[in-house]
Amino acid sequence: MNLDRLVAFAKAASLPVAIVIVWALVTETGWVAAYVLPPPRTVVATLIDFFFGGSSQAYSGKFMAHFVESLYRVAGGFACGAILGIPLGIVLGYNRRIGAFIEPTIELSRSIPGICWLPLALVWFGIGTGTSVFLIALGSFYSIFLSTLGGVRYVNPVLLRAGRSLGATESSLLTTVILPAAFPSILSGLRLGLSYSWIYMVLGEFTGVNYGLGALLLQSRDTMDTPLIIGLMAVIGGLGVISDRLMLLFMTRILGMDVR
Amino acid sequence: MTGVVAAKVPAVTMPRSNDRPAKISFRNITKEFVSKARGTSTKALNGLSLDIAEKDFVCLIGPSGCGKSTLLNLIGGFEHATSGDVLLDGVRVTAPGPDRGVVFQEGALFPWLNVLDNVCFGPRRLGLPRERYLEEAHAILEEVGLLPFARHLPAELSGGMRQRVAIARALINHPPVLLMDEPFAALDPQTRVLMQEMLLRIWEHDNRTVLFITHDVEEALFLGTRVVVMSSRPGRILKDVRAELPRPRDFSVFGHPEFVKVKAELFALVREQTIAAAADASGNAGTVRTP
Repeated sequence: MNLDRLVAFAKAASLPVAIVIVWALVTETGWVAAYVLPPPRTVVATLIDFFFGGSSQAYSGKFMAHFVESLYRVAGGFACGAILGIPLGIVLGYNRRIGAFIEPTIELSRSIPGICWLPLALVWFGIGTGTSVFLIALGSFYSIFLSTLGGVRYVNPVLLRAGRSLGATESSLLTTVILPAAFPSILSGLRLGLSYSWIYMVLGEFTGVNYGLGALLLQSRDTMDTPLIIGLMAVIGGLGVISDRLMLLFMTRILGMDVR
Repeated sequence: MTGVVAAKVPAVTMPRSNDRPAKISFRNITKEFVSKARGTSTKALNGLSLDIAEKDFVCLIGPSGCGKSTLLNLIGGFEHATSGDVLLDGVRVTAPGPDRGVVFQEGALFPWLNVLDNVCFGPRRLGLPRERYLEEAHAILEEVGLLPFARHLPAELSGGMRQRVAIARALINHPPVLLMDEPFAALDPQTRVLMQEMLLRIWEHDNRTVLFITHDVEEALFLGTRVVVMSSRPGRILKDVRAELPRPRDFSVFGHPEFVKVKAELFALVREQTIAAAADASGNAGTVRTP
């Protein structure tokens, strides 16, 4: 790491470090009650217990069990959102005539907040994985669909002209010009969709399932386990960042697409 | 030949600049742009006729908005005339095709492809064998001096380099006609002269038919075998001069007395038209409200 990056890192880290110091000060001195805000070391200890076990708590050493359950829902829901959103976005972005029939309906349905679907989802899919996957699919679909549609529809017209004048046929234009040009937009839709997936995962698991990070978050409220609440918030946030990085890496390195 | 309807339009004797057959013909072209939102229509071209002979290098100059780019878009097949015929080898143009290479002003390279892949885009679409076009792509990149940059992305190149790639990309298809829409307008003056000299070197070697749009009188006179001046909107042809300067040309021709004299005349003419366009209700000449 060179000096510039070190300085940049120090600047970025200064505020979080300050927050943790203040947090430690107000909690360790007893100004704030531990059940409202536990000290940082308690949160860290709880997380270590959650990951590696060591206590008699129900969650002790159970990270993988909860994580796998949540990951399974996020992956399933996000995959559904992407499998629906990308092709639909491509078709409607490419062909305005078909779009005229479908787009207004999608736009209208988008104004219903995702949370409002929860009761209906419970009726349809019952408590558990079905509801979570449905909500995640719904939440990620809109951003993936809209970004894909925009990327495909608003390709720089001069690139289309260049492609045609170089010998591309109307059908080959889609794969050789339109989709590569729309790729950065599709990727940003996927990233946004993935972050929504984690949000709706928590919502779906708040319905009272036994396993899952969101489920555990709700249970820890019931037991007033504030250290675990804060620890889980950090874990879910961290997983969101890691999954975003992994997808970016997959798209750029493995698929060899550029992001610009 | 792709993009051109096979129906032959009967040959009509038109005034020509020389005895070679017309490669490109604009016959009595009118082009109106209708804006439904504002309820207006603008006449960009009004009854314009122009013949371009094979191996002619025609530079089209005129004030902004005079319809010179529209003319290029018509022969390029990107737009359609409201009335009149646009002919390539006597056949009506209906769509773009690889028989007309196009170099756009800027930003027309595919940003996700490196220099070599941009150049190979055309031959790949035409299904040519890989070994043949790769060899040719290397030769063309060598000619425009970009072989060391074959693996670079367009974003990593300067403006002048990008336009050299654009020229190479158009040339690799061996189009009988090259259409250039102010390709050097965004470059600095020094780079522009180098690019002009490079283009002349290539053209003097293969003598293909070129339609070159510019607003720069000096550039037009330096490059062209013929300089055509258009009026302010709606565009008509005001003047059509042959540029009989010695070839091969390089920058030393800028000081040639004939060059200086014709340049001054053309500059005065374009200036007159620019003033007319500016005076005419802030450039709204030819715009009428549609009923």
